[in-house]
Amino acid sequence: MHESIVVYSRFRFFKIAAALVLVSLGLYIWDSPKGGIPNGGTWLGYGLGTIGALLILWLMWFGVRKRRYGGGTVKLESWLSAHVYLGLALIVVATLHTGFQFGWNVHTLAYTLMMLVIASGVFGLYAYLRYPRLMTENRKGMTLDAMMQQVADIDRECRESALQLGEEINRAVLDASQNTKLGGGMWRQLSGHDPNCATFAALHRIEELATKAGGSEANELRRLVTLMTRKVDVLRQARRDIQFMALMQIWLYVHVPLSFGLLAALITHVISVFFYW
Amino acid sequence: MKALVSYLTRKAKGGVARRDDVVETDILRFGRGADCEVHFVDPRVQLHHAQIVARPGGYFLEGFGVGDFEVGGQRTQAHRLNAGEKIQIGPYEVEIVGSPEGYDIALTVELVRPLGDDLEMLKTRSRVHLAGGGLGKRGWSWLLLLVTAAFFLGAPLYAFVSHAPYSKSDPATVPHGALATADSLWLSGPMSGPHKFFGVACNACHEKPFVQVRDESCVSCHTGIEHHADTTKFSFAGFQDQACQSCHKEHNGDAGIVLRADAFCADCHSSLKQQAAAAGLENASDFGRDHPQFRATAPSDAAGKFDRVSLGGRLKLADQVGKPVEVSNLKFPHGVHLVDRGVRHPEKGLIKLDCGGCHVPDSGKVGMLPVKMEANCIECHQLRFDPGALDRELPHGKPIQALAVIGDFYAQRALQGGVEEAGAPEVVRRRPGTPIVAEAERLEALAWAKTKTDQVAERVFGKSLCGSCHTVTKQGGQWEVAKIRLMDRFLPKGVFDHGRHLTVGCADCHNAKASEVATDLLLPGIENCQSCHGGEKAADKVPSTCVSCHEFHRPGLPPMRGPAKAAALGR
Repeated sequence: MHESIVVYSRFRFFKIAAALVLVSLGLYIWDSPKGGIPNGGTWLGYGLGTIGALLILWLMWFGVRKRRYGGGTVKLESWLSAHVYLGLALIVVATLHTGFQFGWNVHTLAYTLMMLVIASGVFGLYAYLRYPRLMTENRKGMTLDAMMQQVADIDRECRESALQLGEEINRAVLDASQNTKLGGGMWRQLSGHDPNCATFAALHRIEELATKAGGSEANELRRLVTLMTRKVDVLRQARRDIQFMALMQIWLYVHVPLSFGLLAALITHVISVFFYW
Repeated sequence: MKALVSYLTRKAKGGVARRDDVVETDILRFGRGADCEVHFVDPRVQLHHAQIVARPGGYFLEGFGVGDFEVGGQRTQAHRLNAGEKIQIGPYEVEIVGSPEGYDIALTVELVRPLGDDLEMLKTRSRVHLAGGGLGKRGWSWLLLLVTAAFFLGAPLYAFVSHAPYSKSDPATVPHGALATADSLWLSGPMSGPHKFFGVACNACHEKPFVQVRDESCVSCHTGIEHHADTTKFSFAGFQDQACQSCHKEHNGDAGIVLRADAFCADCHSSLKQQAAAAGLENASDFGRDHPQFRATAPSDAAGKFDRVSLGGRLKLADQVGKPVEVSNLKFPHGVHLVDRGVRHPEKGLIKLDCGGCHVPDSGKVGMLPVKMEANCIECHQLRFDPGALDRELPHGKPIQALAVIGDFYAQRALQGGVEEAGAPEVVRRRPGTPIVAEAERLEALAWAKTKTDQVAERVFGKSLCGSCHTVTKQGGQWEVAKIRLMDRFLPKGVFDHGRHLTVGCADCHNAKASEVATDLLLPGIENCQSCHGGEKAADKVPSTCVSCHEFHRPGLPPMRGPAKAAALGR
């Protein structure tokens, strides 16, 4: 049975991370640095900083490890579970390393980037735990390709149904089939809908015209409206699917680049404190 | 009109499929409508788009209403047809073939611009994945890595390389401008106040990369910072294995530059008696809980011996049993001067004295100015020795001159005559202005003056004037006033700042009013301080650390670092 990375190996990595957090907190409370000011330059500060820096390097190594399919003796799930819990433990380790001294400098920059990376990772974890189920529910057994095929089929049907109807209706139908698009830019994908959807506009216009029509034309129009409404439903479903996919990807666009910004800031942080020792 | 309409369809593998349709009609209509003779199945064509009509002069193609078409690239509404012409109606191309045998007109119809595959076009229009747009994860990663490294590593390194060596005498060596001070991005915390003025010149202290700040950088300004203890006796107190910056941590704001934590002192001083008995110091680790009784340094006998006397055993100021003494050689009972009814002033009658009448803070308000006879006592304690000599006053502190003043006065009186004292010789009592003729009379007069001088001196030195405050002895005919030993500071190892205790009354610490003898050492014991001050972590008292009262670098000792040390080590 599938085991979530949260409970992986009976919370093994949660326990390791919790132990790291508790030991760090305990030492921080117990330690009374010379001068009475906790900071990164005391023996505990150097210790926590070393652990934090090594953790960051190891956490970033996950990006390399996950690309090696079938490589390594430790399962990728194990790596991911450890990545999540030790990444969260880093919040405490690094914050205690700072001694709560913050300023407009590269040291606080590294800390801020690290916290942003962790925050985006927390969102990623949330996305991986929540969206796959919502996605499955939304798809109702279809793939995005199948939804697009359906849209294309309905488009052709709409055009054929409209051929014997008026010019304005034909223009609307043609516009709906030629200008409707799914997804788009990042925000459009994330939003899950398209307020300028050509099909919405066309349906609206056709419904308007249908109220004025009579006789056999009205019947034809009703059929067309039914078809277009079905298309709108499929479009909504497809856009929601795209939204879920985007939500499950977008955090990585923050998580990964900020990790590399953090790597540069971390290296600078370490060099600078010893350069100006 | 009999028309041959041929529908052409191009096949994917090449070749053309052809379907002929023969139409007999008056008007040949083109359009989407099912009633059109030439039926176009495409929404881009109008329901009734155009029609071919026979008119005088030939066949004409005419558009309906809004419908138009193109002939040879020209849009038009009506056109006379010629054989071989190609006409565009929406996505269709209509070619006029001519008039073959048995037909009035023949034409071919071909859909040359089909709508295309709906699915493919939808896919082309849609972007359903985040990947592929913009820089991508890899691009952004590189960008952030490089930008961060350039701004926060490259720029500060450039600043370091471009710095001229800092010189405290040349303000121009403090860098200016964003790039020259870019290494400030590396500041790990705020500078301490005194170092701020050259704070952007990192190289003022950090002279070499990857080398901790050296003592030489500190002592280039802080010359003569003293040792903590006499290193010839206590070598471990030289702190040779420690640098200045081991204790003085910069970049923690003002809070860090001076160590204030008791723990640092208690490291040694909590068991100093065991570690360095020769120091003669008691153990101490916390002012509230673990601090010895104060021991004042005071003269302990008339000969000038100084002792450290404990101020202990005085839990209440009023209880002065077993009180510590100071032998200043001055007879000054504080209590007599502070009685409530006041003291007698030679001119003003009874006046009430208070502490401030004699004890005036020094300009820094830390200690007190020394009490001086000339400034504080003489207004009442005038040095006049004879009611007949109100214009003469004895010089203070100069017994030989004082004796001369007395002798001079009585010799003058004797030689002048007119002395009304009973028992004085005739020559001294003669009418003033009468000259002395005989040498014997003059000698008699001077002999009386000498005797009188001795008598008065006995009274003045021994009792009434000098003797009332000083210990005066007569040795070999010479009057000797015992040397006064008034202390500037009784607790030289600590600093008590009177100025910071102005809200406390004098009597809260110094019970002078109850003091009846000059040997009372009017200093409070530690209990008195502890009623307000607690240790470093005191919650209900003024938290006070070791350095609140004691200095680590002790004035008077040789410099801890710098030229003296370098010389001693042969450098």
